[in-house]
Amino acid sequence: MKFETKLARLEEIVGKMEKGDLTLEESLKTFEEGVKLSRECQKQLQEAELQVKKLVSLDERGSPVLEDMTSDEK
Amino acid sequence: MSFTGSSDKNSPPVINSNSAIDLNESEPQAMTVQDLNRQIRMILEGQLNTIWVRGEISNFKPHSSGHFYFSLKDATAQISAVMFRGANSRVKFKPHDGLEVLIRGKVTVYEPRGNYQIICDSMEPVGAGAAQKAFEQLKAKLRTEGLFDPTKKKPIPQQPARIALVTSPTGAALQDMLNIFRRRNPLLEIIVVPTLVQGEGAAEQIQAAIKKCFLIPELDLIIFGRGGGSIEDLWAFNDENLARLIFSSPIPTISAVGHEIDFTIGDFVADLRAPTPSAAAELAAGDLQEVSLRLNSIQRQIWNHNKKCLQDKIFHLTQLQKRLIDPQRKLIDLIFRNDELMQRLQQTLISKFKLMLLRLKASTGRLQNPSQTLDFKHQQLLTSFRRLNSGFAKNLALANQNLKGRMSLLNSLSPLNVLDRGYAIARVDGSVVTDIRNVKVGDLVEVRLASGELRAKIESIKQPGDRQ
Repeated sequence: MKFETKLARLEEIVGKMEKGDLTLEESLKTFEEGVKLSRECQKQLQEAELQVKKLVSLDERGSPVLEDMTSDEK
Repeated sequence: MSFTGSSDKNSPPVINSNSAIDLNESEPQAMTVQDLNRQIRMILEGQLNTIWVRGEISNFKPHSSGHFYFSLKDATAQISAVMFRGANSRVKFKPHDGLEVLIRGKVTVYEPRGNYQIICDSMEPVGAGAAQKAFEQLKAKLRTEGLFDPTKKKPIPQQPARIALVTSPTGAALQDMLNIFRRRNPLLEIIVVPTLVQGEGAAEQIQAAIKKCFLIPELDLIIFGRGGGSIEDLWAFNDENLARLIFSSPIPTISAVGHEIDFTIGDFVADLRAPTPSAAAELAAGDLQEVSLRLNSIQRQIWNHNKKCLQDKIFHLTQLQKRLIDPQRKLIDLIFRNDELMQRLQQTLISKFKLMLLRLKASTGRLQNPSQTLDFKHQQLLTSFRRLNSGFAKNLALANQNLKGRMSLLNSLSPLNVLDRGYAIARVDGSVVTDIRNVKVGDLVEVRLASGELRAKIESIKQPGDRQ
């Protein structure tokens, strides 16, 4: 999952917890998911490395074909 | 003298041989070379003081001293030219061989060599004026059409995830941008869409590259540009069709063309103009620091909400627990009720017996002749009554003992010894008081403590929440 998607989901979770109408089980489950996601996000932040791709061509359906740029190109 | 007529046919005829002799006899006024060169210099420099010359640069040599040495030529002639450092620092393009230029300067003569040349004090490429005019016209036209309208500009995303770079794959601009992205926000995904950025066909290639960007899924931003160069180098970004394509882009665009001082049509039509490619990367990268802070705040919120939620549940649970009726309290109530019933039973029985005895006495007293048999019967009755009474008392004691045994057992089994812990049981008229509505001021209250009983009078009754 993309970092931004995770962050958006986390914000959704916080909103849900803020409303406060969760059952105990639901709230524990939500909390667990929130903690897991936030740890993943943290890890992603720490280990992030810029991804550089090159659009080399378009395939027969017109979709872009991407290739990782080699390190010397970078 | 021989006749040489025919052999001298081709010789120039000597006209007035005497005059030749005359020349030798009276020498004409001759100039020195120095004088000549000085005169030439005075004439040339006086007459050709400020001139404009149009020609093509050739043999261009920028000297280490900073001066430019070159020739200006056209199809049939050429002249040496020099442009000194002070003057050439104002030239806004790179002169090179083959470039047609318009220069302003003056002719000077270098007397020691008899050379003449032009000293240039300004130079501009021929056609630059026309191109500049075309640029201004296009700019005005597109502005009128609303292509630069600030209200039409799309907002640049604060935290993009995927950015396309339309630029030369080998240019320094690309490396500059990648370095900044790496430093500022390595979470980004960068897609390089390679294109020519100058020269023949560059404008068309840039358009094709931008169109390819439109096909990239989930693209947040397009940055198009190149590093610095001459006005001609940046010219591709002044293309009208390119401007219209940028304007119609569904994805926000940032222009990153040349240096801060360079403006192209692309700069005006893009959603945001960055002064340089590096600046574009800085503007686009988003701030990882900010993302990190946001994540921390979310984490804190999740923990706090969870804590609060648990606290709420615990509070609710305690409230419910408090409302559960303590079985021990119920038991104590039962014990008292039992005691009370037992006492009433005993008293009723005793009073009944007493009544019977009185009646018996009365009836025996009414008998005028107390006979032996009657006496005997009376005696018998008394005996049986006594036996009955003592049997009952025994049974009662036994029952009491039994009950006390059970009570103490129950007491020992109970997790809390209520009275020992300072609780008291209040009774009015033998009933345990559990509700203030059942008593009134002046009632006599028996208060049972662990060590004994108190008798007290109710002075006042307060509802919970009543103010003093």
